[in-house]
Amino acid sequence: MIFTSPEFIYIYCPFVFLLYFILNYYKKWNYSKWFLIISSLCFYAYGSLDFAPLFILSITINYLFGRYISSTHENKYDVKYRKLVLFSGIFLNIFFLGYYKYTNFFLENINLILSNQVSIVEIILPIGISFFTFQLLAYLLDSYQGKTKDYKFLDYLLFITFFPQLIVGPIVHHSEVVDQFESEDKKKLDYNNISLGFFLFFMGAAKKLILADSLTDASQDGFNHSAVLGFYDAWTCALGYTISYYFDLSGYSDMAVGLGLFFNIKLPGNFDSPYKASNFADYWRRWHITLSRFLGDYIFRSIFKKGDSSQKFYTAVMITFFVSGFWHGAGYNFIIWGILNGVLVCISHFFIRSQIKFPYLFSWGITFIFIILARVMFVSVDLNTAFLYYRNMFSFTNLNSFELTYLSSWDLFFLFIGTIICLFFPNSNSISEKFRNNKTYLFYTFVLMLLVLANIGTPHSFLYFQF
Amino acid sequence: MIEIKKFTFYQFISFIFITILLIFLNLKYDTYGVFSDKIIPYPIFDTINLRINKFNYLEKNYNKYDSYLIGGSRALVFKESDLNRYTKNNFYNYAGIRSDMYDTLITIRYLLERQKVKMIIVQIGIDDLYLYSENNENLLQRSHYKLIQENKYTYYFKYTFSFDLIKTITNYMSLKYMDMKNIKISSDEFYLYTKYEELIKEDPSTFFNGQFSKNLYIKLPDYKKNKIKQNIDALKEIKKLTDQSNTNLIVITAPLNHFIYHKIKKEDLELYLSQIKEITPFWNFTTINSITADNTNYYDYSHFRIKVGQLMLAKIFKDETIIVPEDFGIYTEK
Repeated sequence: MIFTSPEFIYIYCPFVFLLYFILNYYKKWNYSKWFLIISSLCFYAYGSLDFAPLFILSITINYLFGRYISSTHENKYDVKYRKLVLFSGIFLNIFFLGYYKYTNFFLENINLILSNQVSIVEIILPIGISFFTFQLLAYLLDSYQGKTKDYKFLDYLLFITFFPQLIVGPIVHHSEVVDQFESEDKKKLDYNNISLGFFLFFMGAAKKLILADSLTDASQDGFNHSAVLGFYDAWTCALGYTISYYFDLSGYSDMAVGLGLFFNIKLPGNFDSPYKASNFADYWRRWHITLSRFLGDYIFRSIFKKGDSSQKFYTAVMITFFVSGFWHGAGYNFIIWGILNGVLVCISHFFIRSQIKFPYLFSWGITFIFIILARVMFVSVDLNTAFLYYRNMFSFTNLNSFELTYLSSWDLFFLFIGTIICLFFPNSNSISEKFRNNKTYLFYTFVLMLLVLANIGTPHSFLYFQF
Repeated sequence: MIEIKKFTFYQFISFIFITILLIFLNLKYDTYGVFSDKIIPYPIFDTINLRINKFNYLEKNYNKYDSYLIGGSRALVFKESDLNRYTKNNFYNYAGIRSDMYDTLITIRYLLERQKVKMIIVQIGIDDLYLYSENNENLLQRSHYKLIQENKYTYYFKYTFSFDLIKTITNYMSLKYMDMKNIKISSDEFYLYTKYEELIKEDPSTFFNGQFSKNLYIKLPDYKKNKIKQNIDALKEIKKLTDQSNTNLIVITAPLNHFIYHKIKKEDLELYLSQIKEITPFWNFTTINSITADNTNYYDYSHFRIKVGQLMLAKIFKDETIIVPEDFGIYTEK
């Protein structure tokens, strides 16, 4: 179910919200949690019914493994078993992710290397698997390090399944939300949260419906014709996708945070004006923050420790971005995309460490151009298409004919507005901080609602659903 | 500052107010054209669901027809009057925009359950071998709930609560630019093709240069994953259904423009055509020939012109008054 669909806005969300607080009103705390879990599972099953039983089984096994590991933390005699259970859990999660996401990539490579014709298997990727696998792994690893409390099964289940963050994140850490689920203060209607939630939900939906969808469609049309694109088309479509990706993913994130607030759960923000960044290290601190945080905590920091050499630092950065690329998708373009980002982050760190500074506008311009170039690699269907696309971006023939084929004048209008918002306007986090219950924000909410509700006719999937 | 309870209440009231306003607009003006039977009451291309309009019309008028032509938007070039002249039947052109083989199957299943049908002509777009049942979520291209066997209330819920304001405005403005509002609508012709013919008559070189210098109107599907199995299974089912009801089934494959033809993997194309042949004889217009190699026989890379449709019918029904190029159309059987 898509957040911007009429089914979600008019049926699912009001129903779940009302019944949850009715149960809480009568102090049926456990029933209300169970209700939210079952509703979240229904939300999940609506998009990935076949995988739902396996999803529940996987969560349960992870919980049992995690409990065993954390309960034996102090026991020195169980070290071997603890490690065995930890690695079994990690293997199980990676096996599921690998099977659903990478089987065909593996088979294609086998075919390529051995010139075989092993049939490609029809495997439907369960929605959100890449995201909740991270959460499950984080829980296991933290249990091993004794960082988890003895969470109740109900709270743990709710932490994984809570529908606003289930499918595309934000990738929530257990320490951020489980306590919130346990707190009785969070069971009452909080009008401050509801009003901000309303505002954030509709702001995110407007980003998605008004700015992201039309730009994605038009730019994708350009990418479908990578071989024949002219210079201007290539750059406008690449910029279009760069802008639409931001609004798509940050729109989802705003909606998720807004929905969380309806239930008095504060989810972390995921974006901090990434296109204002003046180097790639800064960019990755602002883009998809919860993903970067996870990769930083569990991959980068497991390789690089404070006081290690620069060489180890750069190696850790490269490995982290390699994993990030491979996590995003089963294709060489994603791997190259990861490596490219790793190299750019290393270069940024090199300049920072060497205290080499450039004028802000220059460094921002270079960073933004590389963001666009990296996005081309990310959205191309394969390496070949990406290189064709790059060729056209740097083919300076026919520069005199400024004719655009794929982006209509409307798309250009939205591209202009979108770019201005990305570069010059405050982001959702700062808008949330400034949000007040006054006439101005009431008017903004009304306009956003009107824009959203008058355009929910053709809901598009979110771009990150494919991961 | 407004007191927080009041503020939230006003937000909620705004939500209700906008919702009611949009429901009213949907029901009163029928933006998707699903609540009443308007056959292109207003030529806003891509804002009205043509399939549901046609279905609603047919529900009331099915006794006027005994034969049907079914296919995607390319099949809209065929005139019912031509088909009637050749077959002496009463044809209804039931082609729908972006229909694939799934839509064809569910339409035929419904038609045969409801009435005795003399003849069904199915036009297959061979490039649709990469598609199957793609339009279930798209409100402009979804089929009627009776065809897709969806619950009536959930079906109408979607159309009552959905709205596409920006899309409607942008489409309306682009059509205004094309001067579509004043076009005459004939029941026998698809208005967009009629408009294209007018434009070609006025200034052919401007029209063709405009359409073919740009890669307009071609959304290429994912050429990695073919859906031949699903398409062939659907065709088998169609053949079985028409045989059971003694309906004459004629299958034709659309004349693909050479550009699209070369985009399809050769092995996929050959496999699909050979499997169609195993199920039923068919008229194969999907070859590179004097018609498909010439862009002036097309409105764009995807859609062939009305005159090409007339040539195809002349070939199938052996009309010697029309000269059809030798290499255009091959009757193919096991």
